[in-house]
Amino acid sequence: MAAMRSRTAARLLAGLGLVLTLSACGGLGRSERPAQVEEHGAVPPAAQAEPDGGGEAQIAAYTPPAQPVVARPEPKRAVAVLMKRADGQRSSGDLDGATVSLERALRIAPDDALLWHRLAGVRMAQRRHDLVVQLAAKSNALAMSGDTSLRRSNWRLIANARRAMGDESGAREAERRAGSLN
Amino acid sequence: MAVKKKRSAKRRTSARGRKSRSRQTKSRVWLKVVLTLVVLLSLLLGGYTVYLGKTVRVNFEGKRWAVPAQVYARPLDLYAGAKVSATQLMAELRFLGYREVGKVSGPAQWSQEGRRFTVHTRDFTFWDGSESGQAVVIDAGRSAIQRIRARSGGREIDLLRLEPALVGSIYPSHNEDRVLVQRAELPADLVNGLLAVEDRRYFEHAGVDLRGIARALWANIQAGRTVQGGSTLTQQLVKNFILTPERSLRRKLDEALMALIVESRYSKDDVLEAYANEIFLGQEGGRAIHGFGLGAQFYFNRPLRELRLHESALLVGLVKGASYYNPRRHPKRALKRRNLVIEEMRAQGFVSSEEADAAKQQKLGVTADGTTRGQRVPAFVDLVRRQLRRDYREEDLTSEGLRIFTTLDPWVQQRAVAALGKRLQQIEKARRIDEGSLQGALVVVSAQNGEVQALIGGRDAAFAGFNRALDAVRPIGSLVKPAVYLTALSKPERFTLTTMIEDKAVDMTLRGGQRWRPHNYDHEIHGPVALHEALARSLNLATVNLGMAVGLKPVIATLHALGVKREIDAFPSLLLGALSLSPLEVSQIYQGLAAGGFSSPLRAIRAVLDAQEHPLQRYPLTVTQAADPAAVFLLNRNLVEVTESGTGAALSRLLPQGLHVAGKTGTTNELRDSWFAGFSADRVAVAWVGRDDNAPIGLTGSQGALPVWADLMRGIENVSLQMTPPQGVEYHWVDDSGRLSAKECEGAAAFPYIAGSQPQERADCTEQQSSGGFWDGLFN
Repeated sequence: MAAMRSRTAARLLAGLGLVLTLSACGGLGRSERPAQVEEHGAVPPAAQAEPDGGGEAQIAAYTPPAQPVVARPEPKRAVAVLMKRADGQRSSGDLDGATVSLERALRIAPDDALLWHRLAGVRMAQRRHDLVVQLAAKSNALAMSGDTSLRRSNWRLIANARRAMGDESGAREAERRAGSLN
Repeated sequence: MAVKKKRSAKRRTSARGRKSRSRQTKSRVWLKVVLTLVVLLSLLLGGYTVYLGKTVRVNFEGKRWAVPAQVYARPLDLYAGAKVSATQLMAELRFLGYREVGKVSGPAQWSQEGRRFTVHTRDFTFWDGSESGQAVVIDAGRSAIQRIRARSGGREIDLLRLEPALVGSIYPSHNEDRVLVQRAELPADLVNGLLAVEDRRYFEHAGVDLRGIARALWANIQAGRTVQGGSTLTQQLVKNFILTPERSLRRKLDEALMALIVESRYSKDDVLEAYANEIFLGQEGGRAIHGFGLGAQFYFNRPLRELRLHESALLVGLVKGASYYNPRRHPKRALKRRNLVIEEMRAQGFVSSEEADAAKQQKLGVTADGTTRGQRVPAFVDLVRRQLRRDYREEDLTSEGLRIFTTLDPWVQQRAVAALGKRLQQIEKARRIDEGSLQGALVVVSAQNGEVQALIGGRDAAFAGFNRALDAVRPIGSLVKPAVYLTALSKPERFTLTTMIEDKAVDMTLRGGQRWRPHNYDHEIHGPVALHEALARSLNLATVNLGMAVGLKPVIATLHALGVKREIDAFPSLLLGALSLSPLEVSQIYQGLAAGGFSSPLRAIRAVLDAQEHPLQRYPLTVTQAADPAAVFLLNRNLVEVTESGTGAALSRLLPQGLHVAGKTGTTNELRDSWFAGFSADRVAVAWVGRDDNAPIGLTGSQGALPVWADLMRGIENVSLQMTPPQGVEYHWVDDSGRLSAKECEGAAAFPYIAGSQPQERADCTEQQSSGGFWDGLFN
């Protein structure tokens, strides 16, 4: 049962990572990233993400969810190249281009929870709210259980998208889920 | 006498006068007649010329070339770690028509030293921008790319994209296929060859070459038969504008007249370009190959501009008779004709003797079949066409020169074709089934995004016939069972993998009074069995009982959520697969399972560009959560069990060691259909084997479709299923009666549960209590 072995190995590594990062949290962890980054989360709040009408490119470059509690595996260099390209496209307002780059990255790393999250973020900027909810849920399903910051960002995205679609109670529920991950 | 004479002279004179008067009148009449005739004739001729001129204009300007949509495979992303073997890389370069050379000196060439490849890519406009060709050195490993560097300077390249292979076109019902080329793209050798053998004075004459006609006439008289034609290229082109095939003087005159009109209106280059796109160069089934652009791809699998002298010469040679000189059917004739063209080019000083000799030494170099880059994939192109029809009019598809970028993976497609063909042959031989009587279909889909990577509509994959992958709508038998079990597992308060369910006799009276008494495949009744075991062994009675307990409507809802669009009747027989679907529709269901409950509509197209390479439409990645990921995880764990110890256990000796997959066999009444549907971490595949006349084939799912599926998966790279549990799933040790137990206890096994649904009853042996999923999982 090679799968079993590799699963065990993966868990051990993840477990070790968890222990290490937890122990690091008390010291270095917080000082590495300013707190406000976490406030904004991975995706700008709805008001910021959706300017009225044809305003200029409103999207700040992607900010990774602050303080990952678990060590995410380093993405392949090819994926990193595409993520960077998507960032550039997004910040220059080429949202379609960013989508294409992220979809291409997802073909290389289909179970990379962060990529799904970023795609959800671009879709949010494009006001594809129904899709945002699904993509963020997919990211959540793939996220490691210890990666609370990514999961929290996903829930916030879902909350924003639901609110934009007029689903206030759904939005509050998603916010509650985000809050519970603090 | 004199008087008489005079008189008579007078008379004569008067007669002469009369005569001359009447002659004058007559000549005036004649003049009038002639004049009228001339006027009439010139009117007629003028009118006729105007008419012909219009015909010319309509054909030359009004009718833009109907350029069929070109269908491309997916481009190949190469990077360190990409699961591309050296063998695959070679195949990909061949799909693209790259030339293998000793030393790479330009685009579309490659060389190889062991597993180190030097490749110079082509320029290409993708849907997300243009990329310039570059020369790179690729170190390919046994199963993955090790490293990519720029050839000059050695800079490491993180991501390289090989342009996609052209795999087909969507041509109109009159079956004219072509790839449009412009004058500037015509290689000099090709133009020179045409001049040398078809029309030496092309750049001098005015459409009709009297000297050429005289020469041809003389040659024909000498030979006593037609050996030379005096038609100019312009006349040959015009011939195609006049639709009647008759051979008459009138037609010849029409041609000549139209040729003169064409030349008076258009430049020599325009005429040459039109000729190059119109010329008929071959036939493949119902498809007519028009123009040198498509000709280059049809015969040599590469773009026109990359042709070498001997290849251009062959195309020129085909002008005289594409079927008589068909290089695939009559290679000797074609070679002779090609060399004659080269010889003429030498004689007229277009090429040197050395060049000519070297070119004549070359083999014909045509590809084995009429593949335009890569291979024929009619079933896949059919799917593309159907998906496009939702968004485009048929005439736009066949005439606007659209460029369709699809999801086809030519490597997977090639391996799938081989897997189906070989395995069906083996099965027929081993089981003494009539040769060629079995049919099959195969669909391969990317697990996480629903892109269709390969699609085979029948045993003869190159044949554009009945597309079984899309149109063989057959009962799916036990392939439906996962939907039943998923519906149950989505109710964790009632069902878990270890819940005991009853495999007991079923006897129902259906609506309409019909009695339904299904039985198990082994005709046994197994009593209480664990839920996971019932699925692994594909027990019919246990499944019907389970399905009736959860309800038909929820099962139907699960199927719809997983992407089944058809109406589904709520009959209990549904639970055993009395539901007819195509292999593609089944793939949709299993894609949702493979992606952990997130269904993506199956897509064959990524993007469409117009002829000017502007993006028209993109078909983006979408997902919909179709089922609870935790419940899907439990089900998938169960489907892995199917392939390791259940009805699909035969896979363990057919697949490479260490490749874990999930799947389900399907067999229908009287063994008419043999199905297997399953997935690795990155690919979903569905295989169907049966007969077109729906007669029994005597094969269960594990005897027919399963080995086909295994051969396919063995032939391509797959990521093994890791089965990392999602949030909300915990592992617990239970004994075989479904009570909480511990790792050390006899007969204990670890099962995943949706948190809180684990058994509460404890077995006698529970030394180390299992509590947390995560830590538990670490040690299971």
